[in-house]
Amino acid sequence: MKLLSRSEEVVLLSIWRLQDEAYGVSIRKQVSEATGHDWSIGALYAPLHRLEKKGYVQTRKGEPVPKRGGRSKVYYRLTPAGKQALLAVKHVHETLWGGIPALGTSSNSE
Amino acid sequence: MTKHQQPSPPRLAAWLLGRVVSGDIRYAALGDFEELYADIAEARGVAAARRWYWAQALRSLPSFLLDSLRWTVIMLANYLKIALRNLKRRKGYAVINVAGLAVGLACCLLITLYVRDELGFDRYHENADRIARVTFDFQTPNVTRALAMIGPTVGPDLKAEFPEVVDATRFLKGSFLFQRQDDPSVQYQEYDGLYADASALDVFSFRLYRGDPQTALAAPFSVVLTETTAHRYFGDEDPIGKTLIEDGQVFTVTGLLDDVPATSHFTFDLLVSLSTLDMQAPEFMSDWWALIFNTYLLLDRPETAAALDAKLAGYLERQLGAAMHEEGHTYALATEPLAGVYLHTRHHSSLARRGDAETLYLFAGIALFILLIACINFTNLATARAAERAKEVGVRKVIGAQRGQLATQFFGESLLMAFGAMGLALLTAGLVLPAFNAFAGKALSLDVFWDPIFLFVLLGVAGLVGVMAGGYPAVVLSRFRPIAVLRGSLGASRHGNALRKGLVVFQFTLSIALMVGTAVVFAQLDYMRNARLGFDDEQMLTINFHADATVQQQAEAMKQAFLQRADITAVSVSGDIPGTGNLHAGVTVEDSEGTMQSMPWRFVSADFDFIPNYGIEIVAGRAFSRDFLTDSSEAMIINEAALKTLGYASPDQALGASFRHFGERQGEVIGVARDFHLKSLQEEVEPVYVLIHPRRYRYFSLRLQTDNLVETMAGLEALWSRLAPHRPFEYSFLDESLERQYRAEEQFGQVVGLFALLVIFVACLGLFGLASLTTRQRTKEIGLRKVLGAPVSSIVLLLTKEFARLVVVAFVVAAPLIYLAMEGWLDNFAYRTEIAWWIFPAAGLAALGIAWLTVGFQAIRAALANPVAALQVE
Repeated sequence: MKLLSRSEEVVLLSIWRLQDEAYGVSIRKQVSEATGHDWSIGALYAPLHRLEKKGYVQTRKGEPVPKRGGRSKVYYRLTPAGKQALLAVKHVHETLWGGIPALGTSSNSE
Repeated sequence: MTKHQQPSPPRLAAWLLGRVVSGDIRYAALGDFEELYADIAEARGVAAARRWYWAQALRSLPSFLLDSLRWTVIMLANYLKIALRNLKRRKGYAVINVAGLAVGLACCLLITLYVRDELGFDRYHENADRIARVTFDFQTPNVTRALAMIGPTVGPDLKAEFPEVVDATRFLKGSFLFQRQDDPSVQYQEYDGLYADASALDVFSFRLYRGDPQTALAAPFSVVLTETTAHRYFGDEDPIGKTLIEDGQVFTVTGLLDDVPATSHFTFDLLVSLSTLDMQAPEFMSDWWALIFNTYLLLDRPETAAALDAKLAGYLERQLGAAMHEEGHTYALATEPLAGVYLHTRHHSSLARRGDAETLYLFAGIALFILLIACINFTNLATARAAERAKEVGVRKVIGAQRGQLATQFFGESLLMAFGAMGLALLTAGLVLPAFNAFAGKALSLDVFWDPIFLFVLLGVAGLVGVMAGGYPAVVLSRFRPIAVLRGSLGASRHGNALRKGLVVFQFTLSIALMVGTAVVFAQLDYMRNARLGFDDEQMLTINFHADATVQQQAEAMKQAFLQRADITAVSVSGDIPGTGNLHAGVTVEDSEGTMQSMPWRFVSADFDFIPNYGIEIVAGRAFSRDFLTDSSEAMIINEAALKTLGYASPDQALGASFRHFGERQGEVIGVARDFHLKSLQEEVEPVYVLIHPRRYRYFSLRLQTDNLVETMAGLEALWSRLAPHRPFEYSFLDESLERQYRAEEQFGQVVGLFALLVIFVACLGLFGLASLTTRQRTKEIGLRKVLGAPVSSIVLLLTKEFARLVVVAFVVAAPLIYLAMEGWLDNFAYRTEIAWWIFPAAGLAALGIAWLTVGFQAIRAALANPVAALQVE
């Protein structure tokens, strides 16, 4: 299985954290806070689109909301494959991070 | 939630997003935009929200664009994969369809190259739009001429008299025998030499890469060589300043030119300064009536040509005076633009090549037709093929394919094939080009396809064909109601069928017309080759000595030397031979009413042996004879055409009519000869008069009788180099040079024949497609008939008779049209064959046979098929 890209991973994790409340606005808010820079709506939807095409997330429409111009919120939810993909990335992280010398503690701390 | 009206986001930005965001995420993304907009509007006001919306939209744009592009590419790749898979599954169909279109396109490409080249003649001159050629039309009671040649004084006169004429330059065809002064063994006869004014290199853009364009052709006895010619004489040496000898006169090489481009209406191997003739023949250079100078004017502006033409009448009036208004005489001096000189002129010039606009348009038209037919067939076949896939479409729809997706898939397939065909066509054109060039006498190259406009047109044509061909299946099939299709009740649309039938008729009309056309062209060629020429052209060898004075003086002795050989039965010497020359002089002759008339007849100077040697029949009087001392100075023979213009009732009455030839001789008509063709049969036999006039002799004519031509020729060459060592042995066989006159017609016939083959090929492809479609549509009917006991033959007949009817209709349309067209073509010939009636049924039957073979193959296959299998087709 191909590993997730960094943006896909961030978005996917965010969806998982938000559980039933994961839709565009909330996901964007969360990833922006977590990463410390403001994601544009376009920057969010590009990875979302890919995740959906790959079958890692499913969408579900809620009730129409007047504030959205009468559109429904589109909620995202992880599929089993999506969870697998997240776990795979996590595994790689843990394998590589495990037992390495501490980064930048002694010589180049500013 | 607020109850008041939602403030709406900036419309332009929202519209932009709607265009850009991919369909899959548009709903969600635009919803987010609106939600956040509404939140901000509530918290910070509408203005801030609008600013935010715009900023956010612009920031998001790159991501959305990349996202859309990515999925579009992935989708196209997918369509391509499916299209290739489909084509692979039906290889035969794909090959036929692509090949048919490729043939049409390749044909069109080559013709386009050809037409472009023909239309582009003389355009490379920097001043092309300001150069005009002077023309002279005149009509007297005896002669009508349209010349692009005038007397030597007109050019300088016009330049001096009219301010809009910036410059004038004259060309005169000349023939030179040049010899290197420092190496007499290097000697060539130059046929394509021109005398030219010093201004020639200024007015025209022939590139002089050595020498000074202002002075190269100024001094008498200067010669400017083209690259090839210079190499011929001097190899790799530097020719500038070197000297050549012609008839004892020393010429200096003063310049080197690039070879004349193939798209020039006149061509030459070298230029000799026209001032040379001022020295050699001053009286000739002041003769207004020496109508042999090709004169070109450089105008100040392209538009002044019309105004100048109006003023030329006044100039002519001053020159001709009273002659201008003589009864039955008209004279007109005018100019024609350089751009029209090659294709559109009716004026004759001895040095200019002429194209034929009508033939060009005909070819272009036929090429377009072939392309059109190929495209139509491509569409037809694609449609037929698509109909077979109706069930596939039905299944796809049932499992949820959308109409747009199906349409895109059909477009994808046909576009793929169209571009494949274009690629194949380019390849074919490239491969065929050398042969095509050799055939058409051109130097065309495919380089022009790098021209962006051309490339654009090319891709446009392929794209258009692809869209057209994919259009029907894409629109019609994707609209099918799946249930109906799956039940198998797909009816062929009625008008679709009528259209297809119309196309078949159209294609076969063209096929039959071209077949008949080809046959008629070759029949006319055959007629001209076998026509009675009025003389015997078999085994006649002619030697051209270019009126060399030394040869002329010893002509009699040389004749005797030739006759010593056993393989030469007769020898004559003359100023003209059939198939060459065009010397109009003029003679004053007594007509039937006893008045002396000036006649612009063609002058043939010939010796005593000319008439018997050529087997020309004398219908009244006698041929020249050595028994009459006065024959060599006072006797004239005329032909029947000349006799007719004099008004004598019978040839015998013309005998004894007196004549005057310029100031130099007078005498009587002693004989009338049966008409003989000095020119090709395209032209009427001209009035001719024959005098014994040794200073005009140019050719020996040797009647051969030999079994070993190689030995004879070797012997003759050795003999020649002994008799006239200063002249090259320059010979041709009369029947061959006469044959060359018909090269244009021969080529025309071959091209039309080739077109006929192409059209038939492409038409058969179309028919094949159509037949396969109908046969398949009637599979069940055929099965039922067989079950009920119909024999194979009746089923084949059933399937083929429909097409036979179409071919018959095509014949009925084609026959009268092509008959009229070919009658018109034949009328270009003074001597023409009649169109044989049987050509028409022959062409019709051929078309029918071809159609039957094409359809019959499928009909037989359908008829032989197991009816059970046919009936199982749901």
